Amino acid sequence: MTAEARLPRVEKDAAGTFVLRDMPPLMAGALRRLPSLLSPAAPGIRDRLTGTPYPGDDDGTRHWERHGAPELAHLFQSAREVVEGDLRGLCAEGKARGRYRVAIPAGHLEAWLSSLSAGRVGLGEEHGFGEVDLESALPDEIRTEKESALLLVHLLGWVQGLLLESA
Amino acid sequence: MARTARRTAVATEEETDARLSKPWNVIVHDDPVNLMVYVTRVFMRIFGYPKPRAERHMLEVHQRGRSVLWTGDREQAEVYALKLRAAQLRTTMERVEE
Repeated sequence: MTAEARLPRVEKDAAGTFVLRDMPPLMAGALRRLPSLLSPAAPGIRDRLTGTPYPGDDDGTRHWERHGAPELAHLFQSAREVVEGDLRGLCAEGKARGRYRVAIPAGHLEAWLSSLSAGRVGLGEEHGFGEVDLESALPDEIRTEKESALLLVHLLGWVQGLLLESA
Repeated sequence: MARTARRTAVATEEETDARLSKPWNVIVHDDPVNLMVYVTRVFMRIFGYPKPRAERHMLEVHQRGRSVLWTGDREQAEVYALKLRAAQLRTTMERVEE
């Protein structure tokens, strides 16, 4: 098998670090965009961070706004910083041209999984993706912003799936 | 007047105590984006559920639009809601009505 034909995969090293290897440029590019997708103001993300878990309960909502929402915002920001830090190490594979790798320490896995989810959720809300969109095949040629966003959702989901398989 | 106010205060406290002591449901709602395998893993990690139970809840969310993941006191319910939302799952809480 040539290096060009290799599929992206996750290897775990002796320290338990997840090494995402042989990523094609599109996948590496999707990961590089992830921190910019993790805006607390993105529609779907904002809903989960500041939306009340007490619908129709004003007292509960006030309580949540005082205690729950700030804690959630802190957790979200911490996860984003972890991912951003690890992505600084995203680099080309040694010999394989056009293939990339990034190392994710075991203790960072949850931050990655939730951030990948947040990136997908944000894009999904922004573009109004439903199950039909997500289960349809992508067109051969990406022409619109919505198709580009859908491709990004799939690429981030692919990475998330690889990490989940090896966790 | 003062006595009435005192009674009102006591009644309010009792109502508040009763309200807080009722159990709460932690509910996860469907969204089209999160992967099924991810949702299952989140349920296992946060609640310590074995995989079959976590998958049952995941499928209930997917097929019926929501699933009650846990029922109990409000403080613990909020902790779970916080963790589920941190994992990007749509989560609400509701008091169990008798």
